[in-house]
Amino acid sequence: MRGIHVRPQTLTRVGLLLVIAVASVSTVVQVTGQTVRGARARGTVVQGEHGTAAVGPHGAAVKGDEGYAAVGRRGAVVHGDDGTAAVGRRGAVVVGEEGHGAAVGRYGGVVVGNHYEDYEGWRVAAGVAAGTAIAVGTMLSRPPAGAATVVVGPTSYLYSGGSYYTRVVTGGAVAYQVVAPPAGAIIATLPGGCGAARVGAVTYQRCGNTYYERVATGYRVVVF
Amino acid sequence: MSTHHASGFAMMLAVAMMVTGACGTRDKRARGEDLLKQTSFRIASAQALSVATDETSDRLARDGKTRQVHVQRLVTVRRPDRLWFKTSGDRNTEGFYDGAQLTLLFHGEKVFGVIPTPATLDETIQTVSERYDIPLPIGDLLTSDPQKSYLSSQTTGGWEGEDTIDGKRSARLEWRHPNVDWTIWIPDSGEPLPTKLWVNYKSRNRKTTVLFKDWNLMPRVSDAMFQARIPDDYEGVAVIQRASAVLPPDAKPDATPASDVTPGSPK
Repeated sequence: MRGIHVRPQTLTRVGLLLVIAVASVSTVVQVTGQTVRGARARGTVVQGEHGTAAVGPHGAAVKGDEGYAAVGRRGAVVHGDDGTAAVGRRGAVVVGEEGHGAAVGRYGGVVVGNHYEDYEGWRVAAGVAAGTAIAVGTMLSRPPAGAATVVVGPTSYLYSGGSYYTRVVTGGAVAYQVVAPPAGAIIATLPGGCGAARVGAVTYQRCGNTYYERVATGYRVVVF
Repeated sequence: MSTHHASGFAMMLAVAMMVTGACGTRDKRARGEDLLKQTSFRIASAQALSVATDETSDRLARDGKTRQVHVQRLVTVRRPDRLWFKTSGDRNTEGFYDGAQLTLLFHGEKVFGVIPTPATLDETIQTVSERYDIPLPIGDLLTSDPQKSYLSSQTTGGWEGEDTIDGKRSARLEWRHPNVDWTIWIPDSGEPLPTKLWVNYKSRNRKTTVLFKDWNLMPRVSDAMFQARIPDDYEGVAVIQRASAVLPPDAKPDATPASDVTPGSPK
């Protein structure tokens, strides 16, 4: 979601679903050109150039040019140009415009997207250069060549070129779906295009929207 | 022959041809339905059954190329709520349905997925196909009323000829439907158990040819056969559902109770 904008009436409806998600959602909401920190008590609403974010005792809601999201204790609802996601305590259902949805629980990832044969097929269709990070939600029938296995807790991912893939079952076969970088994943070397970024008193490596901290065995994904 | 008489004769001939054609169509339909009814009754009367198939599927991929998948499948059913299948060839999978859930094992990738299912095989076959978009080309044959599953008010077609399939002379029944065209071959003699099936899922750009062999309507089965056996080193993964099955197209996300989301994950 690029920008954020919240309509009061939307927030009111969504607020009924939400219960104190401030801590879990994040106390840092990025808005174009602005940042809201530590929203507490009665809540905070911030409007930026491309949208608005609202964080309050019953949860958080954002709406931008490309969709909106609401997150609460009992779950989250996200809607964007590419589909809709509803995430609850027992799992998630994600719907894409291509007619497929994902049901995701403790073993799976989130979001759904278009399905391609492999990375090269996606790259050609997207018209981008080799090495470009692939969009979250995209599914591949075959994993990228040379992808490394990254294990986080009970779940294994594949990592290649800055993107993380989880395995899902779709149409009766296993596919490889791009997911947001999982917190705690450790990679040996950073992808290209990263730079130092300071958050509070700590300096991280920022690669796109992903933050990494240096650890003994490489770089660990940090999710704020 | 005057012009008047000539035109009258032509009209009569045309009417006669139309009537004959209509009768022919009705005959073919009735003949096809009769054969399918025999097949349906025979399969439905079996409390348990097993069959081996040879399946070739052509799927039009997003890049415009056709992908072909060839599998051999073993299927065992026990009515009303048990199913086991195993495929080899291009896909090394196994499925266990125990009346509560369908567990899918992908031996090549060492992963498994679990689908919560209805209590009967009939409903489960429908759920797996429509909600999870998992193709079960022979699924309708395994239900308690295959003919009802196959023929709807929108289905047209019937008996269209005979072919020899795997050495057996078989009637060819061709059926058309807005969403799916299919042809089934049923032997002229002996048990009316299909020898071949061809299905064209028009809306899904997928065509499948199935060759049947080794029908057994009295297989020896046990409860254990339908209990999922998941190797310790297999990882559970999410099973994707079709969007149309999850939310209506115009659904507003803020009207969806997030906590009521159906999990598609195992355990």
